[in-house]
Amino acid sequence: MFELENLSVGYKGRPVMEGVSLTFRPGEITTIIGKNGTGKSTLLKTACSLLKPLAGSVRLEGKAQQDHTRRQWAQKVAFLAQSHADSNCTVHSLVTHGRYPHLGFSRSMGEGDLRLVEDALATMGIGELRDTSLLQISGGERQKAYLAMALAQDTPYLCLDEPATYLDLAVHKEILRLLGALKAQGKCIIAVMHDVGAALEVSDHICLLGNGGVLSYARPEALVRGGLMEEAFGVACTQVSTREGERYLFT
Amino acid sequence: MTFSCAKGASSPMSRRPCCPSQDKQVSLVPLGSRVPFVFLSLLFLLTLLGAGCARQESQPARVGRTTPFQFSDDLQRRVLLTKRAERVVALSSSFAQTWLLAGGVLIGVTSDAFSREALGIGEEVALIGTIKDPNSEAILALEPDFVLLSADIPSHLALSALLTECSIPHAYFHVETLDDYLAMLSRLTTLTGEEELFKKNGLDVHQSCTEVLAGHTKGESQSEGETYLLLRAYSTKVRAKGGDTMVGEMLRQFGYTNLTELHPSLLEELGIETILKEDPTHIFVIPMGDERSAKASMEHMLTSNPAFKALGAVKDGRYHLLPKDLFHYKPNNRWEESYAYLAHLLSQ
Amino acid sequence: MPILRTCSANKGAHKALVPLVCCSLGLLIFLSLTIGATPIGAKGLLAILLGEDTRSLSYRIVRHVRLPRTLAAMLCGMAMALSGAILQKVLHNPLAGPSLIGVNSGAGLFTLLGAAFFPHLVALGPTVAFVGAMLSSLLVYTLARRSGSTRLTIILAGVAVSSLLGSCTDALLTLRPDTQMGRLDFLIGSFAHIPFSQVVQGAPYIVGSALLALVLGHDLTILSLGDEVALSLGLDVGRTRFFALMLASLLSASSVSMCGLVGFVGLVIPHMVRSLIGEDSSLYLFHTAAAGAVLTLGCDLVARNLFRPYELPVGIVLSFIGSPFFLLLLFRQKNKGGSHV
Repeated sequence: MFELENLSVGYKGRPVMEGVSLTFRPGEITTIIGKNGTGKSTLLKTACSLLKPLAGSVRLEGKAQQDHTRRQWAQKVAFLAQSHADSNCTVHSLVTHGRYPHLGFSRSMGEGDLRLVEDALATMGIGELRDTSLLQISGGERQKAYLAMALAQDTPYLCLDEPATYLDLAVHKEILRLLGALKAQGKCIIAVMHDVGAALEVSDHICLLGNGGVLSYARPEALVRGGLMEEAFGVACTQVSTREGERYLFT
Repeated sequence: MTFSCAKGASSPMSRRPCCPSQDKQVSLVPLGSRVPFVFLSLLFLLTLLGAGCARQESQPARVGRTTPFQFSDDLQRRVLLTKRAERVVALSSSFAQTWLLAGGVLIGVTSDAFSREALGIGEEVALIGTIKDPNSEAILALEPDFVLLSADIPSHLALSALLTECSIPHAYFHVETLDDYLAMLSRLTTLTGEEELFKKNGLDVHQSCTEVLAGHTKGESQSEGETYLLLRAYSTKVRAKGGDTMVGEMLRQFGYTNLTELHPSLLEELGIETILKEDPTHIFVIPMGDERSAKASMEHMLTSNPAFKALGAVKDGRYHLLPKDLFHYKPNNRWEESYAYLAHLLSQ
Repeated sequence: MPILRTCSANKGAHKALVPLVCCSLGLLIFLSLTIGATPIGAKGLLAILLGEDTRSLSYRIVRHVRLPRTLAAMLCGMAMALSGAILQKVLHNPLAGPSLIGVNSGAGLFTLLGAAFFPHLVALGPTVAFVGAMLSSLLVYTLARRSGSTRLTIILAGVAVSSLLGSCTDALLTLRPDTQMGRLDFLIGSFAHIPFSQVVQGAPYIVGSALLALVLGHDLTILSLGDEVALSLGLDVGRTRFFALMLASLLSASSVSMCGLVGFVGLVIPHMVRSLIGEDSSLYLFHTAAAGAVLTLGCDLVARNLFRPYELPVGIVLSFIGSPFFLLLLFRQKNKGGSHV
């Protein structure tokens, strides 16, 4: 269980959000949505211990964040950033870096580590790109590579900041399906998404942010019925039943 | 030895690794530090081996035919020579000349000694580098038993450790004034045993200089309180020099005051206003590098610059370019000529 | 067409390079010890190294002139190259070099202070330079820390401190013009006149730091992925960066205090090695160190023998030999369509 208790997040002492209390459970996908500037990424990064909380606490399986060493935390929580610095390494190399938190002092990879790397590459479908430099592949392929790295990290908790950005429609769908598969494996997934439709489609819970706090934390259908979507985004949301399941239209 | 993974060998659902040989790549010690560790250990061994060579160096045998001679050099180091110095290397042209004047023989000198024809250094003398950058290997190859070095040049000071390790007696000298020259000549002539050369190239020179000084100051009673400006002209710039230099010391003996003693700031920047205010009686210029271009640089500055043109010294032609071999290089046995030259200029 | 590099085949190829590198280094060491104004044959060299010959002229030359020089050139070349490689990785900046963290200006200022106030204590020179270099880089790091300790602030602090110390040096030069010669000696680095005792004094710092750097190699690679990614992978970014900077400082301070400023090596050797084998390799740091040693020793060999008994400044030879080679690599890169540098 991933718990945020009365968390205040922000930069340099100025809070962007206050009093956030949320719980994320294994085997569930929670998506954080909200208008630009509401602090979605800030909240996610603070939860993942990349930023210091201004107040409140973060607990993972009962243990406070401060009681974990960086390494221990990284073995439990993986984070996919929204954008990445230019890095000139091969795709395969990048994905192997995902095993870093699990490596011992000698920093050498065992058979199990290598197998996980291969699985991650296969899952993301970028096996053929393994020897290509990151600088020479498209933005979408790069995103897949970083996602593969997060997968290789093999953590029970995955925090993804805009995982489907840059990706074309087919791959977008693929990612959403992948999230479903990961959830079925028992992982807890927390994602920040811009695409509200996709978020509503795939999530078990939606966390709607606004006004310096959590506006709503509910199941997608409940959120749509509640009418807060119109308030938060200024667009009307209609639920549509299709062959594949519930979909949402915005007008 | 490169191979690339075949395209299409893996599908998203395939669980077989692409590169089979990867499975074998398990190592307990990281690749990144095992091989270089060996390399660095070899490096260390090499260093230790070299250090080992040091431990086996034996003491030089004592040759005790003549009385060992001990003296203090200008860095207050005790220099001990256990035998006659027959293979001598001098690391500057001035010292080379002083050694020759003391009756010694040279086996190695720096390049500036060869360019000064007056020294008469023959071809049998080895070239061991430049005065600023002497070549330690060339020095060692000559197997000298005495080396003369300058106390003012950093690369000479750095050689001390090497010469000491090789048990080669060496002495540092600092010669600016006539007295410094006499002190050096005295020690060198004791070393060569040619005492009468000290009289000829030392004491007699000193006597002549004293006479020149006496002759000048007797006649010129108004030199009290007179000032002069001493400049060093490079091809690109001109700098003021202080009274502690060789020329400065000589002029002090003539009773003149260096302008920089009244205004030390002139050493950093040639303050025209200060110079105009003080209006020095004489201006002396020492050329550095090529004498011709230094002279041109001096002429350009003094005669084309309206501020300088206004100086009394310039208007009356009391600015003088001093010849290098009497005023830049140490005059050694020609000190009398230097004094006489100055006396002549000052009486204008 | 993208440059294809394989995963394990990479490592295999780079491993195969290692004996080649070691052999060339061995050959250069041999040449450096035997070539000179007094030629020494292989047999003579063997006798000296084994301790059989301890009296002859050849022994003195090898022991007191060529051996310290060879070791100094190798150690300094290795140190400068590693320092540059670490800095380029940590600061994620291809133009980063030891001069960026204030080491060179600190060493220069303190060398000049020593020359101005204690001109006869030559033996103290290297220690003084080393202290100056380390103090200066600590200052840079402290200033950077105060303002956030990001890559940019470190670079800015480095530029500011270098500039400040450079001005202090210039001021000192103006007030004490007699130190000009010492300054020139420092600015134009050389491996001449380095006594063996000084080499032995500096060697542990260089070798020790190099070993630590090699162990730290993997962490540095993680760091170069970006602060956020590195943090999320469990790396203590602040501590790793500090440690890496201190190592880089130690390496370049030891080198600069031994031989003065030898430019080129720290900036360009990492690029050369990167063009040849890529930054990704686990042996990248090792090959950088080895390339630094090989190139510097080779150039020193040329510098002191080409116009015997006159010596060329080794920095000039490094630039003359290294720059065309570097340009060649650059053009080869461009033709292959890759953008690695």
